[in-house]
Amino acid sequence: MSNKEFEDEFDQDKEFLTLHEKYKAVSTEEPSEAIDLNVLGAAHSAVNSHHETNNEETPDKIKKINKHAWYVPVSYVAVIVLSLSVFLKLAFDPELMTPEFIESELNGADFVEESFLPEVNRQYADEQDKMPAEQKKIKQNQQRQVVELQKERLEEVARSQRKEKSEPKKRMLLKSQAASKPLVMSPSTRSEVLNNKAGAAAEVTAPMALMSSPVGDQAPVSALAQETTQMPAQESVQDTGGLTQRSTEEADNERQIKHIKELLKLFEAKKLEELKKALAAYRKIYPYNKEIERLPQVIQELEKHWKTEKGVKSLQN
Amino acid sequence: MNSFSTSELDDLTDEDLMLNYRDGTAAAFDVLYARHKGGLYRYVLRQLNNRQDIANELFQDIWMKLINARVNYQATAKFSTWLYHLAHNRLVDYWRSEKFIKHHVEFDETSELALETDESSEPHKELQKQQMQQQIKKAIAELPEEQRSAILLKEEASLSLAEIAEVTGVNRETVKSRLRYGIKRLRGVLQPLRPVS
Repeated sequence: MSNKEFEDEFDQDKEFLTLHEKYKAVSTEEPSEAIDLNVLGAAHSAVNSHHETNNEETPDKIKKINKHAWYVPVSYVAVIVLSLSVFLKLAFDPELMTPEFIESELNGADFVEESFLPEVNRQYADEQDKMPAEQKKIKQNQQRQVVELQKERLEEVARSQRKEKSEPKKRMLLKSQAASKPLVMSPSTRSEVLNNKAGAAAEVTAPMALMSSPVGDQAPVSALAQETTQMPAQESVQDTGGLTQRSTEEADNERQIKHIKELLKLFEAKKLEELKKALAAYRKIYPYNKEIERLPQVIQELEKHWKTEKGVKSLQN
Repeated sequence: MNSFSTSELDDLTDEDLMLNYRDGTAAAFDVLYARHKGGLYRYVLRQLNNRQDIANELFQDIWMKLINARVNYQATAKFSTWLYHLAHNRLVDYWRSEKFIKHHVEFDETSELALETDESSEPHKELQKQQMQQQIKKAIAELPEEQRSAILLKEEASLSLAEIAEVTGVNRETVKSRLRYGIKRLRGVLQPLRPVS
């Protein structure tokens, strides 16, 4: 029996129909009106709220997108502001675009100082205009002197550097002197040494006299005196900066080398007595030079060898 | 949102009404509810052995489930099948949660009598009707749950065997046998009763 047939049979069953009729007759219950209102109200509100939420969803989504993308407009604004500021800076400061400035910037020069130079020069020129003619001349002379002195000092330094390069032995000596720090005396101590000790003056003149000629002569003494008297004046000029101070040290070194050369010449000329005196004078000028301290011992040893020809030869070698 | 007149909505099938409701026509739900509220309510009430308070609660729950599930509704099956499927599942949940022992639940006569008060001009006939109504309901309540469910789905929802099978989750043959046994038992109980004229 198929389902359709069964259903037909089921529907045509008298007993079932009777039961069906009976059931339909008595089964008339309905939900209360309150329940109807509840269900219908819920259905309607669900539809309305769904539409409201749908309408609200769109702006929320847009809001979210905007919230996460805040940095995009900010970056645009930052780029625009920076480019505008650079453009305005260049427009109002044309010096920034000059090749000198660009070069100086590329070389790492301090632009700030240079940028103020024209103004400083202008102020200086104004001051110059206001000054009387005599004062101007004096000031110009002073400036010229200062510039010349500076030039001389610079030339000396350059010369000494050149000598250092050409004469490695002397350079070694200079280094050793530099290692013994009290090589350079201050002008005051040097003047004390020269003036206060009576015997010292004579001792100093002796080796210095040999600078011009191996035989004693008075002329070099005056030259030495000139040199010593000129020294404080020059140093007072040199004390203006680190560079000039360095040049005085190098000049002292040169002088000391000259003295040592003279000592060697006396030694070669076998003038022992003069050599001893010159050494004593030298020690008074450069009292803390250890290398020179050794020299008397060396001379004593040499004296022993002197008597023999071998010693002379070895000395010459 | 579509705008329909009441007469237009009345002509629509259950499935079309539900689709309209899904799309935002609240009036479609009104028509749908009017069509199915009685049958569903009685089905739930009979299944709960005429316990009206629980029936009211579950009845509303079933409709709320339908309202919430409207967004995903597709007209792939008959609407009444879907509705009674929701009702059946809700009842099963209730029985599970309450550890409902259907065979031991006593028939609530007082509630039935109170419910069926009717102002009739013939008191004798009314009394007879009430007696018969009570007996039918009692007979249905005393049926096993499966047979009662099959008979009620046939009577209240007018579902076919296939649809009853779909709602209850069994095959057609099982539905057939359940219906046969159910009618047989009811016949025995309702034998002395005459149909109401």
